[in-house]
Amino acid sequence: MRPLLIGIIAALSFCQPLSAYIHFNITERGQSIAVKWQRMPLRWFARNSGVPGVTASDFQAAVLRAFGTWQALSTASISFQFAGFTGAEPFDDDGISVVGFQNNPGMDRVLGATGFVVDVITGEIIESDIFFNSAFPWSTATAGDPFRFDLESVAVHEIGHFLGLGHSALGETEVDATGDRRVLASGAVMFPISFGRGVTRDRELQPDDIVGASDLYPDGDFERDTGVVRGRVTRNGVGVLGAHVIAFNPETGHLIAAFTLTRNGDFEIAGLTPGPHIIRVEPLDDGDVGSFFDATDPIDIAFRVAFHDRLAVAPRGGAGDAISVVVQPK
Amino acid sequence: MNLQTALAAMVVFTASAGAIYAQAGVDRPVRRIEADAGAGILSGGGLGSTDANLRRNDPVRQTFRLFATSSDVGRAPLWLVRLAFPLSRRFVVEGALTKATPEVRVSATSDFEGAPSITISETIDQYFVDGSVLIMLDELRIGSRAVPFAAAGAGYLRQLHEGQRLVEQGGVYHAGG
Repeated sequence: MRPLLIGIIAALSFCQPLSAYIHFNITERGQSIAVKWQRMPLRWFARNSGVPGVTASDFQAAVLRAFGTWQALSTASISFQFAGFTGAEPFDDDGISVVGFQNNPGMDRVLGATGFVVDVITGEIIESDIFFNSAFPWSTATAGDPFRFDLESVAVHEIGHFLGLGHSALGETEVDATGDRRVLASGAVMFPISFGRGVTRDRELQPDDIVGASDLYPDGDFERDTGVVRGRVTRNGVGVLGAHVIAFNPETGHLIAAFTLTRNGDFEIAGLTPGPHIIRVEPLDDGDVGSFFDATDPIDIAFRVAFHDRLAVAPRGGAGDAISVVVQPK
Repeated sequence: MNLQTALAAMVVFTASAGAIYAQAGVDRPVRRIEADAGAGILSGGGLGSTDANLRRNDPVRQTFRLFATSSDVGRAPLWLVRLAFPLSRRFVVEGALTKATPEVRVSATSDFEGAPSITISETIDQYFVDGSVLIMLDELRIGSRAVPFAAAGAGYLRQLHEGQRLVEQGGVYHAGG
């Protein structure tokens, strides 16, 4: 029997911060392996219980729409299948993927979370469950409810995790009078902090989300038709780990981002529309660094936001010359 | 207007001007290849502005500008070689190659987090090949030297970004006289 890893590795908090697309990975014999499903369609069960304002049927319909949003991507090969209602709980290691409410008032900043059972040899996801915290008020109203969180929006985010996507740092936040972070704006549904009550805008994916899913489950000619920008971020001649690197295509208006993921400051942004891009590098200061990296990682956030002084060209079906971005200390 | 469209439009204008000039003579001898070489200026121009927008946190569909960009293409010398081959007194075929290396400039400004504004430039190698068929309308001759003509043709635009790693290409069709 293969060794399996069970864990909750993704959560959405409404006031806890977190960053552009990133994939979950495991390391096996020194090699990084993407955590992903290897067979489609992905069968999921809905827990047969509702919460005030949301019946089990409302719940299933909203989550079905959220799964449909990801399945509709023309550049990704993703399909889901609703397998029925169940009395099983999310996060039971029962071999089925369950999506449902659970009451967890102790997680007072977490709207929802996604857990996995993963084959640690191959990276294959065996099972994934999603829970929505019924300690919060929920709504499935078409136009949203100003006093409740929009279930479909949060479900779209959690299903991104279900597929193997991590958080995106493409967003801006501010700290309010109580010390909590409030989202001013985001460039990805996979931004870790919810827009808040009544806002339904995250029912629709953004380019960063689409590229993330398409890079993980490419369909058709996605890899041939897109390009890669790669490079290195340094400060005082030393690689910067955890820098948030954004590629902006002035022709499409798309923002796609990634992180420097090595101590040399190396980054790679795949799935870009071929053409020149403006590269912007910023410290990871709109969220909790611990939401993206291990607490022991020496993440550098003590540098100034900067644009790279050259355009970075993403060639069709390949990678351009590596670029070198130098940032200045704060 | 995107970069490729803008540059293509400018090249078509230049190439067409060359073709018209070439037809100013009359009584072109048949079966003689005519070769021209020339130079010109690829006129610069604005390519538009695009904001890098995030999705604003509000119930209505507002955007949040992370930073602003504007792009333009600078003036550049343009080199042209043209070959024309009269099939008869009425029909002429011709082809032309145009090369230019314009500089594209992109400015990033008004960053929400205060990144210093910057203007980034890139030189593009641009080649344009086109072929045309001309019909000399001798019956509409104006005076002794001017012969109206009708022309139609197609061209191929190829752009190489710095590092020669990205090729952008496109077709251009033209008709006129």
